[in-house]
Amino acid sequence: MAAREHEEPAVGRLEWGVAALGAAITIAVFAVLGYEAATFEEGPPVLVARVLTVSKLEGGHVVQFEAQNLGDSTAAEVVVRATLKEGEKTIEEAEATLDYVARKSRRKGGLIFRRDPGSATLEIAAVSYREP
Amino acid sequence: MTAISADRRREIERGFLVELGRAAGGAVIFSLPVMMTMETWALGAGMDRARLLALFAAFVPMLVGLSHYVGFEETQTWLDDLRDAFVAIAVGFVVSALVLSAFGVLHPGLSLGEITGAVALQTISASFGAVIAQGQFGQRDDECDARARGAGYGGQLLFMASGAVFLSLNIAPTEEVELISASMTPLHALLLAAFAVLAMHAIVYRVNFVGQSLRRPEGRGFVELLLGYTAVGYAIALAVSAGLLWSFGSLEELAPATALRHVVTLGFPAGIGAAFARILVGGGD
Repeated sequence: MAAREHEEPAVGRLEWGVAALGAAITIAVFAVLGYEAATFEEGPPVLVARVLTVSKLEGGHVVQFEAQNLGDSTAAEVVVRATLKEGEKTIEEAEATLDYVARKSRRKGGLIFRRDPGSATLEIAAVSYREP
Repeated sequence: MTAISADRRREIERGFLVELGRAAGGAVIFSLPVMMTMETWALGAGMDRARLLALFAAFVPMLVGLSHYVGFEETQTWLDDLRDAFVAIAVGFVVSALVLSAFGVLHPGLSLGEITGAVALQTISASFGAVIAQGQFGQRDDECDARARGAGYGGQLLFMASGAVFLSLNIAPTEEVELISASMTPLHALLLAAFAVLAMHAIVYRVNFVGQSLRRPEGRGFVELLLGYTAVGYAIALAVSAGLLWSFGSLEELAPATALRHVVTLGFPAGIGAAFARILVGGGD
């Protein structure tokens, strides 16, 4: 046995271990993708935008936001618009376009206001998207 | 196993580590063009799950076949080939995940499915690279060489399919395919197809690349070679192109003629990749 092992390159435990890892990865990829394929439901993306932080910086008041897609379809070119309102009157508006918000995922962005958003009511929402 | 001394075992493990490093190098080299194409991130993350699953399912047996002819050490049985293919997948997956993380493409805001999809798509070309690195950069011995050379007709077709996948994987998701195909008239498309076939034939039989030249085998006519290898190779390239475009959803809602033009456009790089794979990996007919 030992003599034959010298002629043929033997397979060490490490190699079997890495191969087992590869097999586990393959099965996991199939499982995750299969689960997603099975639970997929046709429908529009569900886009929710919310403000994370407001910070006063040199360029103005930066509102950092996060857009989350709770739906099963992916949205591209998601436009997030924030309006600063005093009562019914809109005093300032800013919008940002996110290239891509995948299904069940989130993306961050920023909007810059000249006025302090803290001094009025800040409303933020995703207003449009297109199918990728 | 008990008969192997501790020294010998250490030697085996050390040898495997060297191979693993070589495989990781091959994975990086072969997959960087795909990893640095932004469309593939979004696609892997967002493309139709059933189609990505189909793509991955088609790729695993292809890798097993490829590692039978090239790949880690000389493989003896199909179990060895399977093990080698899974080693390549492990290397490809880890390399892809590391590089995509380093690029900042993978971050905690993404869902598990999105991350899995993005990495799985990159794993395809990275694992090909891991297997091929062994065949091309490793110490080739005569036996291994003989195996690749004696691959037979089926093996040659497999090499061509792999080359086609490799070269078209990072082109398929880009907008350029659509743009080029839109700017071609039907005559352009016809000429491109003819040019692809002639270029493939020339690469394999006419142009001598150092050390790998494949001269026309004796006793076979031009027409026989053209139909038996080049035309079949081009058909494989077109099939690979169609499969990739379909799985990426690029053929959706297109008129059949437009879809075919897309396939022919992508079939050009796929065909060139197929021809080069035959002389580089296949080494002969």
